[in-house]
Amino acid sequence: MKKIIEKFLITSIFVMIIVSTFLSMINVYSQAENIVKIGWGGTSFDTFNPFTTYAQVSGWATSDVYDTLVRFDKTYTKFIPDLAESWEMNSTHVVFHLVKNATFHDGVPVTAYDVNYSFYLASQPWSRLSPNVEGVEKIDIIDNYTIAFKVKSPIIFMFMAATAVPIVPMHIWEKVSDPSTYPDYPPIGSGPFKVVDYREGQYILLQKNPSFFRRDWIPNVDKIMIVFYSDVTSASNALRAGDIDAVGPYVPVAVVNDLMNDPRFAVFKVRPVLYFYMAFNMYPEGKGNPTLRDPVVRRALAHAVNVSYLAELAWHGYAQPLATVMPTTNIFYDPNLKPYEFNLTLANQLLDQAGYKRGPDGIRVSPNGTPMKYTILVPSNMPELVRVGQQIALWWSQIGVSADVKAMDTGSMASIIWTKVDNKTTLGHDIDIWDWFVTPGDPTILSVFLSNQVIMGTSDSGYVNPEYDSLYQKMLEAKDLDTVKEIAWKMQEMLYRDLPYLPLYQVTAPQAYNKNRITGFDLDWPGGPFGGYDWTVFLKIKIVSPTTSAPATTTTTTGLTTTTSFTATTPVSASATPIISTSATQVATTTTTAAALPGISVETSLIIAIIIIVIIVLGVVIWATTRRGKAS
Amino acid sequence: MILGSSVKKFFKDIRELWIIYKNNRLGVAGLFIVLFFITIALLAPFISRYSPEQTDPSAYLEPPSFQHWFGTNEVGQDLFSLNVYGARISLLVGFSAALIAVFIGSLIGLVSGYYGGLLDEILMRITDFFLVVPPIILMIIIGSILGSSLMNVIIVIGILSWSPTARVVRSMVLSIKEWPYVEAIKALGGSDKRIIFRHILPNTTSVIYANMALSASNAIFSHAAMVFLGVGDVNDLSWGMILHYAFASGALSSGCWWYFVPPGIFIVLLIFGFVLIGFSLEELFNPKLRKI
Amino acid sequence: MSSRYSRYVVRRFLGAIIAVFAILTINFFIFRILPGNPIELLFRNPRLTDEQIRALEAQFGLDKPLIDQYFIYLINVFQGNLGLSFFYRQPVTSVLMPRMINSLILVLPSTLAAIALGIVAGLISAWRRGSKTDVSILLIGMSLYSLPTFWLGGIFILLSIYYLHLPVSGMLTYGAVYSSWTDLLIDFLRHFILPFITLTLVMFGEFMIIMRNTLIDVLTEDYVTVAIAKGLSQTKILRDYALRNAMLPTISIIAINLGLVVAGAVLTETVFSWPGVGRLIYDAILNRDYPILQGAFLFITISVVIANLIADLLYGLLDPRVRYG
Repeated sequence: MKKIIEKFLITSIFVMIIVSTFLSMINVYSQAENIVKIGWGGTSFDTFNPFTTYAQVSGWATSDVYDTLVRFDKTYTKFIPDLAESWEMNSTHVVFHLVKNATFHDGVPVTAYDVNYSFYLASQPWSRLSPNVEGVEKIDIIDNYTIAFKVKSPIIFMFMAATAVPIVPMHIWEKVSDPSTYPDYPPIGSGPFKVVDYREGQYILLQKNPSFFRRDWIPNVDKIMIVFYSDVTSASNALRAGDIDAVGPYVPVAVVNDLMNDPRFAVFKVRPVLYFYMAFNMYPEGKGNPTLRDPVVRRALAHAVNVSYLAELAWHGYAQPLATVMPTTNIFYDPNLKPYEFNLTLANQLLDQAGYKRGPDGIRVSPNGTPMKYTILVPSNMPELVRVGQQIALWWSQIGVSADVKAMDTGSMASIIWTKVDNKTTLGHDIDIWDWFVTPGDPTILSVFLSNQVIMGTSDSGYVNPEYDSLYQKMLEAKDLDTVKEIAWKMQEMLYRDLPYLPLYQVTAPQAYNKNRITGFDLDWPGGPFGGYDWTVFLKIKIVSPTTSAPATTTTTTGLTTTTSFTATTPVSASATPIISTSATQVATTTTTAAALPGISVETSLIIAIIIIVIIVLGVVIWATTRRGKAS
Repeated sequence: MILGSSVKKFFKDIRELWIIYKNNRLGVAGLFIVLFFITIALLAPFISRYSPEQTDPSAYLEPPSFQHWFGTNEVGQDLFSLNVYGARISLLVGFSAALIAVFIGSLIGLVSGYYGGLLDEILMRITDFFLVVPPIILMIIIGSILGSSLMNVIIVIGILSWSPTARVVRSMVLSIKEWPYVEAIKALGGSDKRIIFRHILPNTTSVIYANMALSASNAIFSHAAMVFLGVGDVNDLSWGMILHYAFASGALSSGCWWYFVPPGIFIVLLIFGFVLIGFSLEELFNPKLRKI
Repeated sequence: MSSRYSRYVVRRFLGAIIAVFAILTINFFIFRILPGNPIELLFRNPRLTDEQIRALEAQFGLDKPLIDQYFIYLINVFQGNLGLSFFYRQPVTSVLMPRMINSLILVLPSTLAAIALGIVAGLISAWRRGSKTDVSILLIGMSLYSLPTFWLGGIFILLSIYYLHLPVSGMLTYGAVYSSWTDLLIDFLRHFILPFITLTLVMFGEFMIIMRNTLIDVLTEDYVTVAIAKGLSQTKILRDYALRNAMLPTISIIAINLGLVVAGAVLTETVFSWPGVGRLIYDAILNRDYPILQGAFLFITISVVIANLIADLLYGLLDPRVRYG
């Protein structure tokens, strides 16, 4: 009888092993339908409501569900007509002529009233777009298909508002009692895609809108599924397993080599839209360590940070040191600035001369007695940033500065940075390391350094400089692009000198896709095709036909070599984007469409599956107990 | 004088315990495992060849070699040194959290068992509550609210894991209370405090030691789990932190076994050591189990 | 006797109700001492003016005194209203429910399998206590008990990368169109097997040790000694005396250790990205989504309390001795 029990144990272990090997041998991926699946491992989807969403993926997934008046092309300097088929500008007004055959997904035509209502919603204080439409003074509906905006600066309006405000149906939104908490599912837009399914934490399914008014924008594929993963690592695993066709917003550096060595995948670097920085709390009324308000201290600290080393440490060839507050893809980027030189002796000298003497514990003390002890706040969802913070603390310890790295979730970080004292927002931290995603055609990032931004909860440096504020106003009222650029450069030079931020590095993150499966899209869009910026990728993407997989393989090889060679060099320039030629322009052919199971949801079938498993397990137990009786 | 005699009694107890204990081979093995890790933790600066904090971008995720016995991690730190230093935090957490847990647990068990009545009822309901509530979730929530310094983590683990000790001590006290000699002292007018601490507590030591070892193993596990999930102080070089980075950086998914396997083995071994000690001590006081 | 049992039932019920209230209270107050204003966390819009914040606070009842808020909270909970998720902008219940089902799909079979294996192994170990088999089973049990769940999961991920090539995240291949039932089932099983083995093994260690100790207690009882003396067969003794009598304490101990199951599930789901409540808790910690954390905590603790209550009642019904205790 012992034997039987032992046998039972051994059998069950064997069964497990056999079952797992059996399962590992079969593949059931039926990618039969004309559907492209893109994995997303970044910040998860939050809401469809385009006025309250803050997640990159939410805006991206609906970028072709809602139309805007005009769109950016990939240079972010030219505008492509969308709902507006043409427009005229003078120095105070922009007039848009809307296309006449546009309809929302529910069949209702799009008119100037919808545009007006959308801008009204965008200007509400709870809307994330309210800063974008600040320059709008008056909106006039001329007729059903003509609308005029009176604005401070037409060029700024085009860059910040016309391209950003999604046009939503007035007949639906005006009935919503509280648009600030409206989940907007299913979203009704007028774009080339509709949302047909959404599962929280799982996926969004987009389906092409065949009646879209711009025939050349009609998507090549029937359906696009954006699959959510908890992190980029799981998303990359899914790519390797063949579950998905591409990964965004990036693949982790640790798996890049594995993907490159796999002939199925194309790996490439994207043009940077993301950069990391270190902010010093220099707010005169702030609660942080007051020594940071001394410009000499900030300069000394900047000289004690090796930004090239940090870029390499954190991203291993996928980041470049940066000297200003925006990445190189931004059209207002100032190329004349170079990072502060890494020189610990110089840093020590600066502090010595300014009278910061070392105390008995080796930590410097300011002339009026404040020790140079700082806390560096770091968001915990990016593990490499913790490493960066710790490395900076190591360097600073050599110039007599003590720094303690504290990692926390971004919510807690924000509540420490923007603390309320007597109902007034002030800055409560010393130093933080964080990131900004910067839209390439948008100078808004410069507004972070305005004097009133602490109260708004956007400035984490507390930079207060009236001269800077007036420059910003001038920029918003500038009438042509060159003037805007000139002022933006001046502002960046001021920031470089005053060091509210010490920019660290911009990220040219690697992205990857399965080139045996998809093709047709651009790789040089800022942020990459799968980074949450490229609205054309959904329209252009095609499925590689199975018969033409051979030429696709050739492209791969070139792609691979390009990518590898770029890993070796780290030039800082906007053109430094390796481009895999997407010459494989196979026509997508619909392969055999497998019939979906009629009428039974996945949940139901899983519940059935679990019942079966429970029955099997119970059966085994009962079998084991009764067999013992018979055996003796 | 009282202190001196109780110290002497303490050592006598330990000696007696050791005489029985040393016959339990598994228990002795557990003791050796724990002692081994204590040695490593104390000698960490002499054993490791690199500073655990030293980064090196050029030594990126290198597999084990003669330079780096356990390979390197994604920022080029020497994993052998990190693992050696990791023993310190785990042991610290294990011992201090276990002390807190056992202290609270024994106190509540003693009071509850000795006085009985309504007090007992209330204390036991509280104990049940903490026994039933999944501690790890509460730990994560409280840890993420309180902030993640090592001290907080230790306190949270300690405070949330005293209930098993309280239960066992209480049941011991209930039976000791009925012993004739305890009742005799009570009849002679011995104060409650004296009876509890001089006559009952010494008889529960073996249970308390057993629970101490089990609590330590629990604390090490809980700490590693919390840190792994990202609720912990990032500046602590603990085994859980190595695992956290191995998982979060994607090194695990790209198959860097040298990064992920060793710290786990060390955690398992250390917990195993404490578990062996705990179960052996449990067998000592439970005569039915002792018949091995 | 029946009055005694009903008194026992009443006491247990009272205990459970008190526990539920304690959980609700703890749940309410823990999440009120958080840093940051909930309105600001919910809207994440720095441009809200103070008046708007106050208006929203009034809308959510946050302007009332704490004790009023507490009662409002209690009423809401009993109406199944757990608030709005900061992150998903949806009612917490509608986020939690599907996750709950997914969790059960993983946890239920694993727990059953672990109990089954634990009973069998504990039985062998107890019956042959002191032998080499016992020591080796005990050692296996203890080492499984010492295994950190997430590490074991990671080891399976490594194995999968090098040898098994099984999927290591999710529950199904999302977006796959299945041509038949078997395809779906196989796809599900491929995702299911690794988390299932992980969770089963971790719990097996614990259950096996519990079972062994309980059985040893039972096997040293007089009636078993008598049965052995009578020369009854091993099987009969084990099945009719030992197993039957050991079942009860095992059930109650397992009920008490349900917290362990939950902990194991949270860690397993995190490692394997299983879309259950555990993974939701992990994501909620990352996103600081307190309503979700609060809701998940409430769900889990109350279900553990109820499971315990059921176990207690069953125990009392089946074992007359308990009622006197």
